Amino acid sequence: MLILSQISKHYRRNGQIAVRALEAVSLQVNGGEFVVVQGPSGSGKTTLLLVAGGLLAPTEGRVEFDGSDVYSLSQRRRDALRAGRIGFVFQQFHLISYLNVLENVLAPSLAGPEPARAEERAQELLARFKLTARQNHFPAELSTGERQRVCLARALLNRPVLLLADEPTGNLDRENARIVLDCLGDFARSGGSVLMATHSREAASCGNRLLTLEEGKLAGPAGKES
Amino acid sequence: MNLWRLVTREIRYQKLNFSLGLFSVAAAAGVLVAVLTLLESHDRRTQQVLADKQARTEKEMAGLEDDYRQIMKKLGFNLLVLPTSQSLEEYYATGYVTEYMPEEYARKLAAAGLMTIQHILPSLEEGIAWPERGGRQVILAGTRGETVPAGQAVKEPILLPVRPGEVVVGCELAQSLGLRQGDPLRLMGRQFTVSEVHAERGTRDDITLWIDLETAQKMLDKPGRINAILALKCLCDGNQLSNIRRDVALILPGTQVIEVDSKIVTRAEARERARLAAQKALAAELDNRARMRAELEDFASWLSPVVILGATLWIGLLAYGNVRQRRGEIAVLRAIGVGRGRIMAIILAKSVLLGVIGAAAGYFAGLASGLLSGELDPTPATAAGLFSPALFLAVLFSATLLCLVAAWVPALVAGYQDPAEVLREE
Repeated sequence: MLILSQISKHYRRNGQIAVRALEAVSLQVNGGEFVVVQGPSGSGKTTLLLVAGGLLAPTEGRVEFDGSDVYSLSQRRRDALRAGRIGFVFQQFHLISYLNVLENVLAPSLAGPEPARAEERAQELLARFKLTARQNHFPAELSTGERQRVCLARALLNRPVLLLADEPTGNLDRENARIVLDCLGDFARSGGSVLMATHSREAASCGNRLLTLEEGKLAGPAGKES
Repeated sequence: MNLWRLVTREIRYQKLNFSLGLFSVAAAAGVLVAVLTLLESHDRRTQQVLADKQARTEKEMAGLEDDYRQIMKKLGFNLLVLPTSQSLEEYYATGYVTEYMPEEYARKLAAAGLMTIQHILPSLEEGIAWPERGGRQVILAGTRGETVPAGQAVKEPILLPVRPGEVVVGCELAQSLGLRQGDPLRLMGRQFTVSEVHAERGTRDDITLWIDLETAQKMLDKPGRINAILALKCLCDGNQLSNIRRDVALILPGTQVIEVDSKIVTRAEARERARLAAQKALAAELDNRARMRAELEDFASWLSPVVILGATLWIGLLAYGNVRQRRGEIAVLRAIGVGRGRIMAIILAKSVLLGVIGAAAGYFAGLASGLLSGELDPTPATAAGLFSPALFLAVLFSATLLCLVAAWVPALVAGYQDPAEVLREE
């Protein structure tokens, strides 16, 4: 489903390579898989997710999603791919402050393929994440756990097949972290793919495949495809 | 979720930002509309003032004209149609007309209906020695009232006809002979009754006896003959003597026309001068108001562009600030698949709302301030009269276009913002 082949990503400053964020990373995430990429801060986890999500073109290498070379697609088709097939979960949630919970969950319908039925789907997700009572509240009025649940609901609105989660439990207490991880696990068990970056050992243990990223390289036995 | 819902939610959340933008659009539109309203109200007031002055002048001139018509009528006939054979030198020297023409001429002249002369009166006049009064020199004048075209009645005659058997006596004669109204009078063997004694005129009229024309023709042995046609020059354009002479010559060949009283001409000229002065005053007022309008236009010509340019820059800056503030939100929207065009549309849609609402508010504020500081009465009817749907639409369209132009660069910045860069930073 998602295949990253020999991906390198270098950040330049003044024409010189300043940071080698990823170096010849190869990775495949299949349907039903929950892949965890573990590594310390600055190891390139976020860059890996952004490259995988079609948001950041690699310096070298190829990203394939459902058989298409993501970065050879037009910008418009890449946007459509993200809108319909990929969901993002961020550590900082990135909820839109002036929209209430329901509207935040509905935000992907701005680009989604079925905006007419989006509200129905949003209500379903709010119920699933026990947010129905909070649907008219604004992000500033929510707890951290609730915000991350809203973020999850938003990621799932357009029924994606791949979830990219960047430190989704980084700001959460144990209970809320469990809810989020369970949700990601359920998503994978239902046939979806999850690629999660984390530096938490506990979160890393939830995946069915663990990869370690150090200085931009998938290192050790975990770096090999299973 | 749709674009307008997102935009309106953001506006509600960022009230200050939107209000500042709204204020600047409304101010720009308001200044423009206020200036245009002031100009329009100035123009309307100018029309009112001129119409009032015109009406007043016309009324005054009509009054003057009527006054002079009355005066001229009181002063008497001022034109004399004489046979061409009459020597004017002799006439001016003696005051008598010694040549004759057919009485028919008066009827022909009246029938011609010339606009330049009115009140046509045939007259036969001769100086005679009054046999019954010891050969006293008097003027015998025969008249038969004003001649009008067949079938018409004489309106307000200057001189009433003298009935047969009656005589009208000049002042000097009446005084010296002790004659009064109703007294019998014998003249050239005929008996008359004094029907009227004229007040002193200080002219030869004071030694004149007026009897009816037919009797005079018999007494002077001039049947069917007259020696002058008296007339009144009209108070109208084209009443110059040369025109009258030309007109009369066409109808009555063999006659000449002279003016007999320059006082009348002088008064007519005075009236003409008054008319010209009134016209000049009207032109001066028009000139003054045109100057005021030009000053207002000059003021508007630099103020309007400055305000519009300032507002455009301000809206652009506000939009750019808004985009900078919303970097995270834009990055997330891009990450979840919202395209560049849609991101730009979100920014531009807000500026469209800003333009439409700001322009509408500015239009009515400008109309109100233009009305209150203008020269017309600030009534609802005046406001309704000054409301221009075309201008309203033009302001709405222009303001929206300006807002779109102002927000275009910020919208491009938002659309082409690299979401990965923002998400990595955060």
